[in-house]
Amino acid sequence: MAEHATHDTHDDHHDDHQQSFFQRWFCSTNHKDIGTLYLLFSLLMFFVGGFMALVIRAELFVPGLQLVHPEFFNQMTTMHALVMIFGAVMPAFVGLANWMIPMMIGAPDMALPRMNNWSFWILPFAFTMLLLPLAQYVFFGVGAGGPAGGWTLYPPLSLQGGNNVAFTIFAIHMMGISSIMGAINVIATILNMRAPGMDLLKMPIFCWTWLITAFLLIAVMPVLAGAVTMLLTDKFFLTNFFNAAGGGDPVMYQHIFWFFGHPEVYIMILPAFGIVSEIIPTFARKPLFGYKAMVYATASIAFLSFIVWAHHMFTVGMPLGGELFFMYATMLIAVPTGVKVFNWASTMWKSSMTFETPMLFAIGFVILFTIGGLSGLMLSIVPADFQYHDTYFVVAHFHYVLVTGSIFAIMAATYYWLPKWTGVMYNEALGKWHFWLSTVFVNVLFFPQHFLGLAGMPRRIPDYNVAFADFNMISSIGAFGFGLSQLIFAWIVIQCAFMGKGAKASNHVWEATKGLEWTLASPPPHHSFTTPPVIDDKDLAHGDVTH
Amino acid sequence: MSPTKSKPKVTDPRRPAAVRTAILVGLVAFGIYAAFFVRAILNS
Ligand SMILES: [Cu+2]
Repeated sequence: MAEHATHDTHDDHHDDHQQSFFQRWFCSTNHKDIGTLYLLFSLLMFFVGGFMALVIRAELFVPGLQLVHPEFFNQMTTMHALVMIFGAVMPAFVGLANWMIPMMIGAPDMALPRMNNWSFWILPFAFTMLLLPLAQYVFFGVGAGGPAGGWTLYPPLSLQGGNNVAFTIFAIHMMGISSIMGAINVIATILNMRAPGMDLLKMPIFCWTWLITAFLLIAVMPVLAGAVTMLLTDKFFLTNFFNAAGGGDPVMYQHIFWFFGHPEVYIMILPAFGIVSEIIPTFARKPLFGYKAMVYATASIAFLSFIVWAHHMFTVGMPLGGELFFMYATMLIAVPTGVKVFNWASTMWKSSMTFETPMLFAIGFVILFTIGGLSGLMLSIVPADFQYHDTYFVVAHFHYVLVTGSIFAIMAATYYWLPKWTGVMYNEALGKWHFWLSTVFVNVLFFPQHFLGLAGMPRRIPDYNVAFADFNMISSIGAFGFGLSQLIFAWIVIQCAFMGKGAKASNHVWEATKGLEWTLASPPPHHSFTTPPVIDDKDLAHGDVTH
Repeated sequence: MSPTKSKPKVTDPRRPAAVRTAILVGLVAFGIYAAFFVRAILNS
C-alpha cells in the first residue's frame, strides 16, 4: 500500500516522498490515503460490532439468563446497531467512494481534500465518545454502561437511562457532520471535477448510485441531528418536545426519526447496488443491461424512500388513510428494485461468466438481498405487520438486507478492487473459502430467525420461551461460524495490504474490466489524473452509451 | 500514455465552482436542520 509509482507531479502543498507517517496519515489530503483510512476504520468497527453480536447470540444460545445481565444485553443490541450502521457500513462506502470516484471520473482528487481529511478524522473521536460509557463499564467497572434503549433512541425510554445518553447524542452529531461533509465532497467532486467528455450519463454506475446517496445524506442527516438535539434538550434543558406530560408528543420523535431512518437504509444499499452493477458486467463479460434504467431506478428508489417512513410504526396508532398510504408507497419500491434485479439477471443471461470471489459475492448479493427485499414486502402489509412488528422476523429481514446486502457488496468490492489498490492479487482459494463459509453460515444464522419471528419471538430480549430454543441454537451456531469466517477476510486483507503477499496485479486486474480506473497502474500513483484524461467512449464500463 | 506525467498545476480552475457547490449544499443541509426545529417548536 505504501508503494508509489514514479511520477514528477506534486501537489503544491506537500511532497509525498518526504512525508512522515504523521503527515501522510493524519494530515492527509489524498483521496486514496483517506479512502484507506476509512476502509481500515470500517474493518475495525466491523469486528467490534461483530463481537457485540456474538455476545448477543451467546446469551441466546439457550433459554434462560446465562452470561450477561438483561440491562447489559440491551446495551449490546443498541451498540451493535450503532457501531455497524455508522461505524462499519457507512464508512466502508465512503472509503470506497474516496478511492474510486476520482479515478472513475478522471479527477485528480476529491474536490475538497482538506474537508475530506476532517470528514474522516472526526470519526475516531465520535466513536470514542460513543463507546466510552460502555468501555468504562466493561473494563473498569465505572458507571452503568452505554445506552440500552435501542439504536432508534425512542423517548421516553432512551431518556430514562443515565446521563450517558449525552455521549451517544454527541457522537451521533459528530458522525452526522462527518457524513454530511463526505456527501458534500462527493457531490462537488462529481458535479464539478469530471474529466471533459465524462458526461453524467457516461459515468460508471457506482458514481451514479453514490451521487444519489450523497443527496439522501444531505437531506436526512440534518433530520437525525435535529431529532437527537431535541432529545438532548428534553433530557438536560427542560424542553418538552417529546414529553407528553409537558405537552409534547413522543410519536413525533418516531416520525422525525424514521423520516431519517428509512432513507438511511437506502444510503446503506444504493452504493451496494452500484458496486454489484460494476462487478457483474466485468465477470459476465457483457455491458450492463439497461444502464439508464439503472440510473432512473436508483433515482426512483431515492424519491420513494422519503414517502414510506411510517411503515416502521404501523402499530403506533395512525389513521387508516395513513396506514394505507404508507403500505402502498412501500410496495411501490419493489418496482424500481425489481428493475435492478432483472437488469442484473439480464446482464448475466447468455453471458460467458467466470466465478472469481467478487462475482461470487455479487451473485450472493443478488439472490440473498432479494430474500430480504421479499420479507420487506411481507412487512409492508399493514395487517400482517401487526403480527410481525418487533419480532425476530424484522431482525431476519433487515439482516438479510444489511449483511447479505450491504456487507456482501462491501466484501465483493474489496475483492474486486483490492488488487488495484495494493498491486497484489489476493489469494483466490482463501477468497472462495471465505465466500462459501460466509454464505452457508449467514443463512444458518438468519434464516431460522424468520420462523422465530412468525412464531412470535420478540426482538431485544435476553431470555425467551423454551418453544423457541431449537431455532435460537441453530441461529447462534450460524453466528459463530459467520463471525469466525470473517477472520479469513481479515487475513486476506492483511496479506495484500500490509505484507504485499501475492501475485503482481496487472493494470486491468480482471480480464474484462472497462473504465478509467483500470487504465492506471496497480497500485495507482499517489496522484492520478492531474491532467484530465482523454475519454474514449468504447472504454466506458457499460459499453455503448448511445442507447 | 501515463496520466501521471504532466505539468504541475497550482490551482485547479474547477475549484471555485466546486467550492460554490459545496457551500450551497452545506447551506441546504443546515436549512433542513433548522426547518425541523421550527416545525417541532410550532408543534409543541
Ligand atoms: Cu423503512
